Formats: sequence, C-alpha cells, structure tokens
Amino acid sequence: MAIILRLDRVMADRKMSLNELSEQVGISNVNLSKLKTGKVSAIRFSTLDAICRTLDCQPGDILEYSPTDSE
Amino acid sequence: MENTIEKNKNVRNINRIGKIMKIILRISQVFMVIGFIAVAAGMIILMAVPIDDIRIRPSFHLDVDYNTEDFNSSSSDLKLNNKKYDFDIEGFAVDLYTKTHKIDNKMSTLSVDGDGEEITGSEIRLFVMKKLIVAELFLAAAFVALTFGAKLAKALQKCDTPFSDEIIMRLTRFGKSLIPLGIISLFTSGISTGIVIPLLMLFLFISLFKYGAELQKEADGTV
Repeated sequence: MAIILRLDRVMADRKMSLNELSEQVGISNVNLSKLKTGKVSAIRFSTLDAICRTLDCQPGDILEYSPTDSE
Repeated sequence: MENTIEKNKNVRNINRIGKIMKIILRISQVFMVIGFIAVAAGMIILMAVPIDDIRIRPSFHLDVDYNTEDFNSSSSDLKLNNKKYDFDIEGFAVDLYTKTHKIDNKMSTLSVDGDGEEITGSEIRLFVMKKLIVAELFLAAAFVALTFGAKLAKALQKCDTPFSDEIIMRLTRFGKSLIPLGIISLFTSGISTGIVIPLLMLFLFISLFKYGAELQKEADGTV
C-alpha cells in the first residue's frame, strides 16, 4: 500500500503518549497501535476527525502517499 | 492499560443461546447413549431367546353393522360381498375376505376375516433385528451429530463475533455430520423434504456466514 501513516511523528511532536491519545480519541490502545504501525486497512472519517482535533493537525500531516515505497 | 470493550448486545444473546444449546445437546447425547445401550441389550436378548420353534398364524374377525341407506340408495348392500383382498405388510402376506349380509330392511353387516401367512420365530427375529440395527445406526449417527452440534454451541457461547473462522469450521462440520442421518432417513422413509430442505438451508447459512466472515475481517481492519 502506498499510503503511509505518520501518526508516530505527530504524536512525538505534540509529546502525546499512546494511552493519552487513545483516551481522547475514543478508540482502544490496540487499534491505535495498529494505526500507528500501519497495520489497518481503512480508517473512518470520524476517527481521523478525532485524531486531527486532538493533535491539532491536518489529515495530510498523518497520511502520506508515497508510491515508490510501495514497490 | 488496555480499554475493556463491552460485547455487542446481539453477541451476548448469541453467547447465551449457545450456552443453552450446549446444555440441551449434552442432555440429548445422554439419552442417545441410553437408547443405544437399550437397543443393544434388546438385540442380545433377542439372539438369546429360543424362539426358533415358535409358529404364529395371525388371524382376526370383525363385524361392522351399517345403515344401507347411508351408503347406497340404489342397492341394499355395499359392493363388498364375497371379495378377497391380498396385502403385503412389511414382507408378510395378509389375505382379507369380506362378506355382507342383511339384518333387516335398513341394516346390514359387513364381516371381515383376515388371515396372515404363518410366521416363524426365526423370521420374527430377523425382522426385529433389521429394525434394531437401523435404530442403532440412527442413534450412533445422531450421537455424532449432537457431538459436533455441542462443539458448535460451545464456540458460540464463547465467541466475540459469530463470523469467525472457528464458528464457520464448527458449523461446516456440524452440517457434514447430519449427512449420514439424512442417508439413513432416505433408506428408511424415502426422499422427504423434511430432511432435504433443512440440510440445504444449513449449507446456505454456512455460505452466508463465510461471506459474513469476509465482511467481519474488513470491519476489523477499519479503525
């Protein structure tokens, strides 16, 4: 998949832990961890909306399209 | 620390029904075992009892009084006077003789005499043994099906979602375990929609659950 998740980078910038983010976003640590490591197949807009609101960022800060990396 | 996720209400219902199903199926298995042992004991007793020298000649007589006006306005008798009928009941020949005679202007009597062919003790033993063997096969097949059913029920009792690979595997195995029962029923009572339709529906449900499992995997991969 050419879509890469940069959630760990944004979390580090905002100095936010996984537990704290999962509580504020309202999804489990397990699912957030899967999101962070790119082990998900889809993300709901509602989840993306909650993450961007919590981390005060844009969707483009978390999602990156890199076709050369997918080879 | 991981957040605890409360189970969906429908999944909790499935767990509850699975638990009840498991209990009922286990009790049914006990009855199957008792039945199997009882039939086996019956077979042993039947083999041991000395009935080879027994001869049975069944016969019966019955009289039916009837009002001739109720049956036929143009004739005073049912057209059953001096008739003979041959029947075969489970391989044993039975002859019926009918005769009618008038009692008065309104009433007549229909007499029926029945004679069966002589049956020996060996024939009785063979006839009963065949039935008992079929019963044993049916009970054994039913016990196996109940075992697979109980395993399915146990999986449903503990599942977080009914659309899992384990549930589908258990459902498929349960469905396959019903096939011998269907075959035995086919030989004993012929092709019947009472067996074909439930089996078809079960395999349809298995396909539905497989599709559901695919959707479940997609949903599980979505956050």
